[in-house]
Amino acid sequence: MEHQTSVMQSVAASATVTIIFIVAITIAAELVPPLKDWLKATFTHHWIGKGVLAVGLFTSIAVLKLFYAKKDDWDQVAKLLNWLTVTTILGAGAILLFFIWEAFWRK
Amino acid sequence: MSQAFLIALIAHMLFGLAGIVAFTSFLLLLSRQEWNDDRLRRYAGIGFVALIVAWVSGGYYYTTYYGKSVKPIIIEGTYPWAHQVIMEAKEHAFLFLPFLALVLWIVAWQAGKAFEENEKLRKAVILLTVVTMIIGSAMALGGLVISGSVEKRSLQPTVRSYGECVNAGYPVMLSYPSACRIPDGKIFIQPVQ
Repeated sequence: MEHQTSVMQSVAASATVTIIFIVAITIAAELVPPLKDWLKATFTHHWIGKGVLAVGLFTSIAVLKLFYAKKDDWDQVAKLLNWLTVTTILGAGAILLFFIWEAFWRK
Repeated sequence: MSQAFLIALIAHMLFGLAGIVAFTSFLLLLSRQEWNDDRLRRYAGIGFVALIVAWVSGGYYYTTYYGKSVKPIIIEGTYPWAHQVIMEAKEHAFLFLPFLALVLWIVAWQAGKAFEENEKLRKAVILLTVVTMIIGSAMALGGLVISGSVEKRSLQPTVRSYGECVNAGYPVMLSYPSACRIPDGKIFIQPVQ
């Protein structure tokens, strides 16, 4: 059972960090054009670049977190899943609000 | 629109909907007091695979066709916000979904009896599934708004040459000189150097 909760904890924590990363790089790429240009130049399209970097980050953190996960702790799994839920809601809200601001108020 | 782009767009919609349906089934099963581990795993697995296919097919359509052929029409049309807000938010929030689906699948696969024994875990998974479904449904609704904002009367002026016709993904005839045809039947001949 120890191994089982470690994997769940690692993917939940990694997904949380990955979602924060997606929100950050999305907003940063709009505000800093050279970053968006670099994503386009390196990955053929900025969206592909964000996706590839997100998958890479998710995999790296999930593997790293495996070594630091609390053993056989189901409450910790629930806690990390709740963090993922909250991060997802805030992240989706931040992206939506940013693009509303960019479309209607950014000069 | 070429057949490849059309297939990609239809696959994106259908697999996206399949993912939402699979996670709805997963949620209903998880909400019951008597649940079935195998079915939970199956629904979460189907949901994950469906969202990955929707991600890849939608990504292909978006990066190769939408930007060149659909986005300019929306931006120049009556509802530019459909791209500037809805599509921009949709394309980026869509990046969340495969990770959320993977987490749910792994938890469904490994938790098993823990759902019965640990109420905190079950509630956390239910909440995450609801949020995943809400984002998935918002993606589907966003897609409808974006499709509705493409004005047909603006379609014609965007293709004015053979090169624009090819870039827009319309069928190219195997002839010499080569020719490209837009949906209303107009044909653009490749300039011969």
